[in-house]
Amino acid sequence: MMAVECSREADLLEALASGRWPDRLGVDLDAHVAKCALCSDLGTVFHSIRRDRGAAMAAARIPSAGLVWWKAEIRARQEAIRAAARPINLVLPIAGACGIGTALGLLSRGSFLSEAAWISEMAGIWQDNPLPFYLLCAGAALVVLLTPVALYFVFSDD
Amino acid sequence: MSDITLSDLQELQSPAADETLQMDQESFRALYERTARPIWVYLWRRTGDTQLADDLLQETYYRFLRARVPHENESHRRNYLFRIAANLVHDSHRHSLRYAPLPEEGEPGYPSIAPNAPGRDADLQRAMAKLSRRQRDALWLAYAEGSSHIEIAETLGLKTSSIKLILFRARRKLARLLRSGGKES
Repeated sequence: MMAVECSREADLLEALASGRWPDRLGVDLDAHVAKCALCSDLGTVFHSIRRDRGAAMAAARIPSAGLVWWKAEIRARQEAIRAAARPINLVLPIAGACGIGTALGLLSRGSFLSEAAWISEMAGIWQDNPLPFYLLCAGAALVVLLTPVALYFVFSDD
Repeated sequence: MSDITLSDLQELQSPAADETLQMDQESFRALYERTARPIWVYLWRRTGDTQLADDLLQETYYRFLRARVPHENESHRRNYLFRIAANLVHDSHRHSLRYAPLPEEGEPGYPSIAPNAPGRDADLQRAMAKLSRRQRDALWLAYAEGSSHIEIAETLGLKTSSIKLILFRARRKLARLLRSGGKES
């Protein structure tokens, strides 16, 4: 099996980290690197990457901590607002649909009749088949209950 | 960053503004001063674009601040930041063609690489571009950042036992490319 690590790797890494590559490794380590492909590769790669990193660190112009923090805060708050609005976005269409359903139901049940006729009509429905009446009442109750809640979320900041 | 109202900005002045972030501004500033520059350099080297490095740096710290992850020590925090950054670079590569490997000399686009741009080793960049994403990340963390195998594994989400082999193969390939001026034999 091919060796993937040399026993002198730690020594070489220490020399590399302390800036002794390639001329000041010492006679012993220098002789080892000359005949060890693993260490030779390590030296070449480490030195190139460290040199590149050093130059990049010197040239780097990073945004200030204050700017990064400020942007993060704004975004966090926006996301919090969006998260708070999520239930409203769900409730409003349901409430709207209930309201439209209620209105259509009332219209289809003779809302153009006189008030007395309308009431007697509803009483007839109640007796013959109460289910649509229950649904209408439930829809109306939902609108009445949810509208203040929805308005509260819309007009409150948090 | 659109739809910011005046009331949103005013509320940022209140203490409640940083409740959703996992540290206060002073702690963040200290952490940022210690960690931002090497992370930005990593992002720059991996994307080749300073503007994108700025954006990804912002995103890295934002995700860090929003994550409710307990950090045992400074090293863990730093590794976590690099992990976020590495994932962002990976996502950017998947969603964009902006980071195609640097072209060879004579290929379209070569002169615009600006090999003499400040702090840029064009040979190394070209050679690094021929490695896999995992190899590039492992090499950078190991030799630019001095991370241990355990830290590299933690950052890249790999098994510690696999790091030694990844580094070996990456070193061998990169050294060969550097010696041959970026040409694969």
